[in-house]
Formats: sequence, structure tokens, C-alpha cells
Amino acid sequence: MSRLPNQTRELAGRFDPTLGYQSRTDESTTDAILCRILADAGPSQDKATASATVTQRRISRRVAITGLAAVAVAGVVVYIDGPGPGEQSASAAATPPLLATGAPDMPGSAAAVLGAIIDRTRSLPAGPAKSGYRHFSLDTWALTTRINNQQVTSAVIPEHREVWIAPDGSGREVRHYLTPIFASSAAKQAWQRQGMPGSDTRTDTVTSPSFSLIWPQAAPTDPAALAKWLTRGHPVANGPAETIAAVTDLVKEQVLDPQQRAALLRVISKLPSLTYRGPVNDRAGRPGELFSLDSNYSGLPTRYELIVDKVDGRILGSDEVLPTTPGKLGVKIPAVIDYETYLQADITSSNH
Amino acid sequence: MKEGKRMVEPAERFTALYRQHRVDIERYVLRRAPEVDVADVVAEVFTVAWRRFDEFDSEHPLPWLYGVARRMLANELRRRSRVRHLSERVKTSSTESVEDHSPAIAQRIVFQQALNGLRELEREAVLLVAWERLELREAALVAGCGTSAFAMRLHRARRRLRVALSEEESPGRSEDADSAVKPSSVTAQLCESRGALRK
Repeated sequence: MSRLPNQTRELAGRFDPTLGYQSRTDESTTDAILCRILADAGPSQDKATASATVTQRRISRRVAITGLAAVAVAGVVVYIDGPGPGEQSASAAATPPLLATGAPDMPGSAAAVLGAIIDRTRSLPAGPAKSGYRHFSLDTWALTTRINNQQVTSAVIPEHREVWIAPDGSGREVRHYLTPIFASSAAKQAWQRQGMPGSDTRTDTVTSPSFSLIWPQAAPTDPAALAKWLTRGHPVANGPAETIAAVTDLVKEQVLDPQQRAALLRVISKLPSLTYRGPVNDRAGRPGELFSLDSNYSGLPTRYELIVDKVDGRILGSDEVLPTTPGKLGVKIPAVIDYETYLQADITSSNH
Repeated sequence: MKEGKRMVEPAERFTALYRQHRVDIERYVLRRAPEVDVADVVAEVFTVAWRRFDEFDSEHPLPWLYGVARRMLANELRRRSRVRHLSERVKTSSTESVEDHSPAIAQRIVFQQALNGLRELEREAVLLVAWERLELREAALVAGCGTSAFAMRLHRARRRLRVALSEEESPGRSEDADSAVKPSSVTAQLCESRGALRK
């Protein structure tokens, strides 16, 4: 066994693509980055209640410890002058509104509500078998998205995507930005000063010889088999939020028939701590039922939400929400930091 | 109370960790996803590491950081478009004609194809040992399994890799046909390279 590492290195070590690599990041930049990281609430800090004063003192101490350059200190001061937890600030990043739920018209636990939807979905006819392109239409937005290499915090600029995947795995994707949404005229002016990123009407078309599908084969209809199948690329060790991620990936890869959708909902219904939050209209105005699951996996407490069509069991959309702690993201909590709206999933005869 | 490691402020320890291993994490990211904004991802890795510094494994600082990086990179790639990136880059390479290149480049392409043909856990085992140059115990920590299990995985991966490389260099000859990676499966398993990055 002791020779095994050396034998492996002899076989593969010379192909390391970073042999001779020299970091291009200079020392002042790395110090500035370090300073910003330390300014983020660290271990054992109560991020939700830490006051600006305490933050200031803590950071000052860290700056003294690390002996950072003046430029880095200036960066920290800018950061801590930003909005605190729960505070409204002109500098808070623009985020979409939270989905507003109504009073549950299907009272019961998440499992019970989903159970009723599953029963309804399973009774639906499968429809005629079709061959052709898998076509997906969706709107997406994420706080971390960069447009023209810059992060836009003054506006919410969703992106519309149309994807066609041929049976041989080749595909085509067309994407364009949607109309920016501003919280105020000041935000719009800030966006204009930034060069109005995302305002061009150009459509980007990406043609891929082969899309990197996680699941090239059709999804199983047995819930247990499907649950196991979903763990491909989505390790169980990451917790139940990983299953939500798998679900949102799956609905962008496969056009699911009613039996597959029912199995998928059964897998979702078994997620621990899944909560039914009530009826909701998704970001395209369609009615659905909202389910959520909280997780700290990303490093910040995050609520993962799924919208399910109670009539046919389709996944209509997904949101990620920071309910309590903004971390260093500069948002006013609770804040949506990511959403996807699944508008269409069907089989088409052409890729246009 | 004696002056010791426990007396050092977490920020000081974290600063030392950052200075010592920042470039290691840059290389880790570059090896797996050269098309991401490496500086951004590395900053995020250390941000998450700082938030989770209560869980810091001071006896194995680098494996602990690699574990954080592994999860962080998975999140980053999940947020990105579901197409292109590493898999496509590799596929592009895979379809290149080996004869058109110098022997060194041709060898690299053949190696990349063979590497992509491994199962994702096996591929990661090879990289952790051959490229991150971790010892078995350290690599097992990153992989989240016992040392013996990891050694078996690595042994199997190395054997598959060796067979695949010998097949590419000498078509039609195989010392272990059952465990060899068939050319057709290279493409089929490319999605796993994306899967590996998501872990």
C-alpha cells in the first residue's frame, strides 16, 4: 500500500496542468481579499445580532493582527458601513420579491399535501410517445450572476433561456436578458452609471456538440430507484438540500411523464423537515403549492423552495432564500438570492 | 496556563492558513475547473472556511481546506450554466486528432480521455494523490472515507487508468479487458466529470 501513492504519481503526476504554475494575484490584492473575508462574520459569531460597533471593533483588531496595508483597511471600512442585518440601505443589492403564499387550501403536512398531488398526477394519461428534441424554456436569476464581467446589484435582471437537446446529446441554447427591474429611480441611475449591463437585446446562441447530461437515461418511475438515481452528482452526505438541487437539475434535463413526476414528488415528500408553506403564484403568474426546506449547507442558513403544480405535479419553479443572515452578500434579509422558473418542458421536432 | 496553539486568536490562525495554502487552493480549482473565475472561487472557499473555522482540523489543515473547496466548487458549478465548462472542454479535447499534435500534447489528450473514463470517485482519488500529492490518510479525509477503503479505490483507479492508457497507446491489446474503459464509454461518462465537480 505504501508504494501506491508513488506509483500513482508516476503514472499521472506529469500531466498535472498546473505544473510550473505561478499565481497571478499580487500580495496587496490577496491581503485585501483576506481582510474582506475576515470582515465576514466568522466562527461562533452570532451574525444575526452582531452590532456594527462590535463588528467595527472586531475588524479593527483583526486589521491590527494581520498588519494589512492601508488600501485593505479602506476596503473593510467601506464594507462595514454597509447595511447591517435587517437594515434597509440604498446600497443593498437588488433582489426579487419573496414569493407570497396564501392560506393553505390543502391543509396538512408537506407529505400529505404532496400525497394528494401525487395521486392526482399518477392518474394522468402519459400522452403519445414522441421523439425529437428535448426542449426547455426557463427564466433564471441569481445574485451572483455577472453580466459583462460585472456584478449588477442595482437591478434584478433575469435571463431567459431556451434549450434543445437532441437524442444524440448535441444541443443548442439561446439566451437573452429580460427587462431590468429597479427598486427605485436611484437604483436605475446607478445601473445607468454602470453602463446599463444586460440592456442590449443581443441573443447569445450556444451550440454544443454534446451537452453534459447528468442523467442520459430516462428517470425511473419507482421512487426508491429514483431517489438513488438522483444521487448521481448529488452526494447524499450534503443533506436533503442536495436532493432539491438534483430535482432542479433533473427538470432541466428531462421531460418527465406523469409517472416520473409522481415518483419525483414521492422522493421530495420523504425529505426530512420539508415544510408546506401554502398556495402561491410563481414568477410567471401560475398557481402552485410552495414547499421549502432549510439548510446550512452553503455556509449560510438558506431556505430552498419548490413550487409544485397541484393539478399535474410539474415543478414550476425554485427559489433560494436567505431568511435570517445576509453574510457578506449585502442584501436585505429575508432575500431571494437565486430563482428559476420552469416555463416549458416538451419534445419538439426542431431545435428552433 | 501555558502559551500554546489554543491561545492563538482564530483570526491569526486563519490568516496563517490563508497565506500558506491560498496558492494550493488556486491550483486545486484550476485543475478541476479552469474556466471559472479562479480568484472569485478561491475567495469564496476561504470565506466558507472562515465561517466554518469552528470545525477546523488543525492536524490536517490542507485536507480540511480541500474538503471545503470541494463542496464550494460543487456549489459554484451548480450555479453555472448546466452546459459547457469542464466536460465540454474535455470533450473538445477528446475529439481532437492525436496525430495532429506533438507527442507531449497527444499524451496529455490520451491521459485526459483515460482520466475521464474513470468513475468520479476514482478520478478524484487519482487527482488527490497524484496532483494534490496527498498521502493516503490525508486524501481519505478529503474523500470522506477510511484509509483502507480509499487505498482500494485508488488501487482500482490506477489499474483502470493504466489499462486505458495502454489501450490507447496499443489499440487491441488489453491486460485487463473487464476493467478497461471502452472508448464509447468515455463520452458516456463525461457527465460524471461534472458530477465529480459537484461533490
